[in-house]
Parts: sequence; structure tokens; C-alpha cells
Amino acid sequence: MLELDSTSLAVFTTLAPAGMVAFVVMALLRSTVADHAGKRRVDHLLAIPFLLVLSGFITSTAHLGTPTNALYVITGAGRSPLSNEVVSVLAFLFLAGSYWMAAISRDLPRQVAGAWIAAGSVAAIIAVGFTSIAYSIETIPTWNTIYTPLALVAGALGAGCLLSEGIYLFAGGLKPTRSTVLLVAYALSCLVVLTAMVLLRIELDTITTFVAKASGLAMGYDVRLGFYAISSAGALCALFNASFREEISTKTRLALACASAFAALWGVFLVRDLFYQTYMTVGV
Amino acid sequence: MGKAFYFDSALCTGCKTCELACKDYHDLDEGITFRRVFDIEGGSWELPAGGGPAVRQGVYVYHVSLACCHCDFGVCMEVCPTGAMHRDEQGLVWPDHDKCVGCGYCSMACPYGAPSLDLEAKKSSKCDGCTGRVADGGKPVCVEACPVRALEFGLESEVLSAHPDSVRCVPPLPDPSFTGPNLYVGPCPASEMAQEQGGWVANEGEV
Ligand code: SF4
Ligand code: SF4
Repeated sequence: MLELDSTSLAVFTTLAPAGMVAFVVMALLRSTVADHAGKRRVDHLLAIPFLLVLSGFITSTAHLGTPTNALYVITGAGRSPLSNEVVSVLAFLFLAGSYWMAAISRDLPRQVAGAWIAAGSVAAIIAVGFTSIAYSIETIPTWNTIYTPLALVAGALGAGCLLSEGIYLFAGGLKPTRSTVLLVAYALSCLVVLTAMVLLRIELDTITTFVAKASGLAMGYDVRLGFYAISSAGALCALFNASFREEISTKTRLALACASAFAALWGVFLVRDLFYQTYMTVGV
Repeated sequence: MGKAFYFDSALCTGCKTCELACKDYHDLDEGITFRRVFDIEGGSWELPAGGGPAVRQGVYVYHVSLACCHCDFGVCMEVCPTGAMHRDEQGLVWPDHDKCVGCGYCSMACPYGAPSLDLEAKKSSKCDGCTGRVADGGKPVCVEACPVRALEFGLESEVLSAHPDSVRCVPPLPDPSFTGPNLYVGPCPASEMAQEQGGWVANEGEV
């Protein structure tokens, strides 16, 4: 049985990758915004993905028995998959947080803003990559599969696209073609997550040791995946209405965007929590 | 060559003296046990087809006394983000409490279930091979406590020359290729039957 507090890790691996992908997508879309005022509106809203990542990171420290020793993690970049993950997330938080503070307090020269936000985006991509492989440990056969990074990255990509579309509604919305691309990307990512989790479920049936059968870890697996599908479909419907139904009021539009973000993140959390429940080692 | 434990499954009676000596020596709390003794059972029996008193049976039982194997490539050290889990100059692996952040990754990754989180210290804790005793020329306390001398400890070369028929894995231990454990096991007929026919851990709730 997993000794550590997996709920806080499930919260972290839900919020942080999704927030970092949202930052990258928002940064890409920002580069297509022509007017200065529009760019500044987006800069203000970059606080949302930043805060998502920050709150995920703070929650993750709950699984540490002695967080006061965390300096050894930070100085240990390259030492282990976990230290790489932590250091890269911290690098993102530093770059994204400092950019946001600088951007909202003064007018940054165009090139400086572009380079800064690009550096934050690169850090985000690296951090999502490190987070996705942090559980590929040879002695944990149920995690050491291609489905682990696949489900995490696809979940983050989908939620990140959906969050970006929702956040842009607060800045007046995107062009319909762009909204469509983001919503289609979300739907496709959800299908990838579902496929990865179904294939993992099939693989669990083949993993046994002298003391345990991995198939026994999958209690409620299918039901959870069903809830994931329902919450993802709900998130998609809500945001579709918020983005494309012109007759609804701004208040309703924003409420729908918030509801859809919640439903999407809840769905990812369910899958992440399920993932931690499939823990077993090759030994005792 | 480093140091290694030897465990003779043919001699062990499952009395758990090693386990208790370790708990006593390291002053461990109720919830923490560095050395655990697995009771492995298997097989079945059947009544003779035509009746009669002779029951045909193929049941077996044996024990495995297991603590950290101070592996050559311990996954606990590979996943530790702080470098707290380290190998000392005796070749023994243990967590440096001044560095441990209590993330639990070592206990998550170890296939021998050796490290556990000490809920009071909020740090990893596990068998250190009685590194202090070994540095003073002694043996780990479990080895000295075993009443039937089923446990031994010494240079790997000595262990191997004393027990050339030893193996590195009997059920329920994992394939040694994962971590390179410095544990050699003397197999017994029961462990060979378990290897062929399977079996179960009879004291799962205890270990
Ligand atoms: S038995 Fe586990 S804790 Fe001990 S060295 Fe091997 S991997 Fe590390
Ligand atoms: S609990 Fe301590 S020894 Fe174990 S992996 Fe974390 S920091 Fe390292």
C-alpha cells in the first residue's frame, strides 16, 4: 500500500500541469493579439494559470513530512526524477510569477515581454515533461508504462486548452476558429486519456507478483473512468455554450466558463487519483 | 566486494527473534519494524478416494526474514530527491535524517518494503545494517540474536564461499535484477515448491 499522501499529489498533478499548459497556450495566443491593451488584459489574466500551479505546488508539500529540508530537493536538480520535477516547477513559478508582476506594474518593451514569457513557456513544457516521467520507476510495474506519461500529458493538454479558452472569455473572447481549435483539442485529449486508462486497465490484468495481482487494484476503475467521461463532456458542453451562444449574458458566460474549468479539473483529478491507486511494486 | 546478508530458509523457524531484537536495539515504535518475517504457505491436501485415514498432502511452509538488502543499485537512492538515502563507508544504505524531507519516495519504490515513514520523526526510517556495530567490527543485532543461526552477515565473498548454493531470490522476493540485493538465501524444499506452484503470505496483516 502507498504510504504517502497521494491525494495531495493527485491535486498537484492535476493543477500544476494543467496550469502550465494553460500558460503556454495563453502565451501563444497573446502573441497573436495585435493591440497593446489586449496584450495587457491577457497579462493580467496570466495570474490564473500561475495561481493554479502555485496552489497545486503548495498542496503537494502536504505529503512531505519535513518540508523544512526542502532546500536539499532544490539543490539536487539532476539527482532524481522528483528533484527534477520540483526544480522545473519552481523555475516556471519564478519566471511566470516575475513576468506577471513586472507586466502588470509597468509597460514592458515588446521584446523583453516576449523573451520573458517564452522562457516561462519553455520552463512550463520542461516541467510538464518531468512531472509526466517522475513515476516511471522500474520497480513499480503498474506505473512504469507508456500510459502514465501519456495520460498525464494528454490530461494536462486538454485541461490547459479548455482553461485558456475559458480565461480568454474574461478578456473578451477569442476568434471562433481559435475557440473551435481549443475545444476540439480538449475533446481529443480526453479521448486519449480515456484510451490510455482503458489500455492500462487491460495491462493491469497481466501484472502479478507472488503477493499481489494488479487487477485487484482496479476496484471502481471503470466507474471512475465513467465519471471522468461525464465531467469532461459536461465541461465541453458548458464552455461550448459560453463561447458560441451569443444570446447569453456576460455573467452567465463567465459562470459557465468557471463551471467548465471546475468540471474539467475534477475529471483530471479523478484519473490522477485512480492512477495512484494502481500502485504496487515487483516485490513484497 | 561489499557486505551481504545470508538467510537460511531451511533453518529459520519463524520465531521472529531477529525482528524483536532489531526493534529493541533501535528502540522502534509499535508501528515500525525494520526486519519482518514472512510466513509463506502453499500446497493442498486431499482425502483418499476410497476413504480411509491416510490423507495425501503436499502442503508446505517456510519463512523469510527480510530487511533492507543494501542493494548494489538501490532504487531508494535513485528516487531520493535530497540525497538523504545514501550508502555509507561500510557499504550500508540508510537515510540521513538531516537531509530527509519525508517525501516517502524511497518507501514507494523499494520492492523489499524496507523504508517506511516514521510518523513521529516525519522522516524515512529503515534498517541501517547496524552500521555502528559493523564499524566497530561487530555484526548486525538480528544476526547475533537468531537462535538457530539462520542469519549471517559478512563480506559478500565470504558469504558466497560459505554458501555456494545460495540464491538471491525465493518467493516472495522480487527478481534480483531490479536492485541487485546483497542478500543471499539458502533455499529449502518448501521454497522450491513455492517457486514452482505458487503460494501465499500467511501473515500478511503482520508484515
Ligand atoms: S532493499 Fe530497498 S531500501 Fe534497501 S537498498 Fe534495496 S532498494 Fe534500497
Ligand atoms: S523520504 Fe527521505 S530518504 Fe526517502 S526519498 Fe524522501 S527524502 Fe529521500
